Amino acid sequence: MLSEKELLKGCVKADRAAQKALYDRYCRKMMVLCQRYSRSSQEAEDSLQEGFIKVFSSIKSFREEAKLETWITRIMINTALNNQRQKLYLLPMVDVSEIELNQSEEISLAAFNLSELVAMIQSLPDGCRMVFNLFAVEGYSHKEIGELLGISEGTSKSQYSRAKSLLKVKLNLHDTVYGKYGEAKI
Amino acid sequence: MENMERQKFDDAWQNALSGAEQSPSENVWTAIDNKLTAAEGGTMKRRVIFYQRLAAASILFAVVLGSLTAYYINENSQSNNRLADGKLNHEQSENQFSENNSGNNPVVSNALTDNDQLADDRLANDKVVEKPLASNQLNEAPLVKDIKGVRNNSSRSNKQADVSTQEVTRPMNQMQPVLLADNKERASAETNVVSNKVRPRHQNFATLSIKDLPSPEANVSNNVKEVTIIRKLPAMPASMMADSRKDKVYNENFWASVGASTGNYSPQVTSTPSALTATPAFGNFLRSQSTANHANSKGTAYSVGLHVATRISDRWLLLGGVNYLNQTIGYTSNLASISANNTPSVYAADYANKQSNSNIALTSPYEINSVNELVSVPVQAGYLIINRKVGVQVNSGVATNFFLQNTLTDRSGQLSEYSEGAGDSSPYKGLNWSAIMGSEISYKIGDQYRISFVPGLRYPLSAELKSPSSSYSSIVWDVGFRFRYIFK
Repeated sequence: MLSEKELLKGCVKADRAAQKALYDRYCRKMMVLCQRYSRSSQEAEDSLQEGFIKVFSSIKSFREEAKLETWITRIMINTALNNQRQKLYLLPMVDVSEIELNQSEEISLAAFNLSELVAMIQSLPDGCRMVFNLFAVEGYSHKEIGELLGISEGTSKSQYSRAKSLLKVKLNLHDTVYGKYGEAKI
Repeated sequence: MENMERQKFDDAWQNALSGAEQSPSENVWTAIDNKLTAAEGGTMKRRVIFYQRLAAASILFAVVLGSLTAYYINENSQSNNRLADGKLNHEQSENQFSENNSGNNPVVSNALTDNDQLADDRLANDKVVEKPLASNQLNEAPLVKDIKGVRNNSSRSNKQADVSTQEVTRPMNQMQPVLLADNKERASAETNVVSNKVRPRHQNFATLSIKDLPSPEANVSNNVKEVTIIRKLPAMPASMMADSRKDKVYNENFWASVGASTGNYSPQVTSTPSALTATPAFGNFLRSQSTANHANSKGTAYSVGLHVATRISDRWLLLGGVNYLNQTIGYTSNLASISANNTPSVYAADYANKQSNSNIALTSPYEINSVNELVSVPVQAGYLIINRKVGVQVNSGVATNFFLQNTLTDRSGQLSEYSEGAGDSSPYKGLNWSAIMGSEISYKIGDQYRISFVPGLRYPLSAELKSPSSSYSSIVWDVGFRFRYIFK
């Protein structure tokens, strides 16, 4: 198995074998990331393909200041956001009334498999989905999200609240069929 | 508040999704591979265009430079001829003029015969206009000043000659007493106004005696004419005068050089559309499946070689040598050859008609590196446009190419490499010909060396493949350097 440095060296030389090895190493993680930002698996694969082409074409600029995986993740997020940006432009995000969640409520998603969780996220409206992924999963602040998506911090917060409430509804719906948050999933 | 939210709801999602993996479909990598291949093709195409433009610009530069130089050399030789004719005419007219005026107007005669060699040459283009001068103007300086001005324009440096000039260019009314005073002691002796050492050929002036000089009263004669000389500058700058550079032409008769060149390589593929029922049907089918990519590909070429040249006339050269050529091209193939031991190896449509025990299979597209190696023996005629410290020559001729081998390599390394040499079973012809043309711009270093820049073009005269249904040949544009040793 090639080390990360060897992979990088090969990719810089545009060696196809090294590029394939790099792709094989990170494609599965990045596929999940792209799925979270997309409406469908087809859209996710398009983003994944575009993202890896960007990775290979700009790998010479990678300075090894960050981990390679972090750098690739950043490229994938930007690619996925760009692909969704047109939708966000057509349906601009607006403030929605904040729905207060019970802060003390503990949730567990352990009983859900990956495709179920991804399907829940994909079912969110475009704006909510972007903000939720950026805030809850990637760890961006609302201010950073506002700058990234060209919206206000307040809009980001309200979109996030809406995403949470919608997800809670989905989890509850699941709960009514399979038990509380899937814990008693049959 | 934000952190609180993260701790409760988001951590649950982060934990659930961290490290999650899901395999994308195989199509994703295929699409990435194809796009990367296309992008590399674009890069190569840009590189090829750069080489083409560089070679074309170099040739154009050499041709323009050569044409300009040939024009100046031609103009120079014509000008020299005119100068020589003019000089002869001038001498004839000068003698005639001197004879006509020696008795009556020595000033004019002296002025004309006082020019040195360069002034003589330049005067070939001068117009001499004679017109009668009024008697009251004869003793005035402008008449002589005009002539003096002509002399001062000459490049003569001989001080002795200058002194003579000053004497001769004095107005007659001042010169006469001086000459008379000088000859008080030598009244009967002949006085040379101008030293014979300076101007031995102007005998009519050198033998001028005091008694031949007219008296001041004689100057009043109406026969005296004013001479106006209108100078016409030569059309060519003095720096281009061939006379001053004749010693810089180099006589190099035989030399050998080593060189290397690199450039782009553009295969020209023309396939005859064939039905699947043609024989061998599968071969034609394979070719129809994959030669399109081949035809659109462009590659790089380099060559190294040893060259000799001999001069067969003042300007013409005969050149020969031997070169090793390496022509690399990348293209996409969708064919693979499966050998008897089930090992897949690279296969290209070029081999479609080849008799083989291998099974050929259509596969997903993969990138091939195809390298042709040849030995080329060129024979060229060259023409020396400039033969000085900087030399410019144009060469043109024919090269006989001996095919060595073609090597196909899968860039991804998944399929085995495949090589095919010349021979009866090879799809490549063992021998083919190319037209070669180019220019060579050289610079002389020391007595026996020259370094030269050589842009050129190699154009195929015959197909490289044996197949009658497809014609495969390659155009090579290249630029190179040569290091020349001149035998003495």
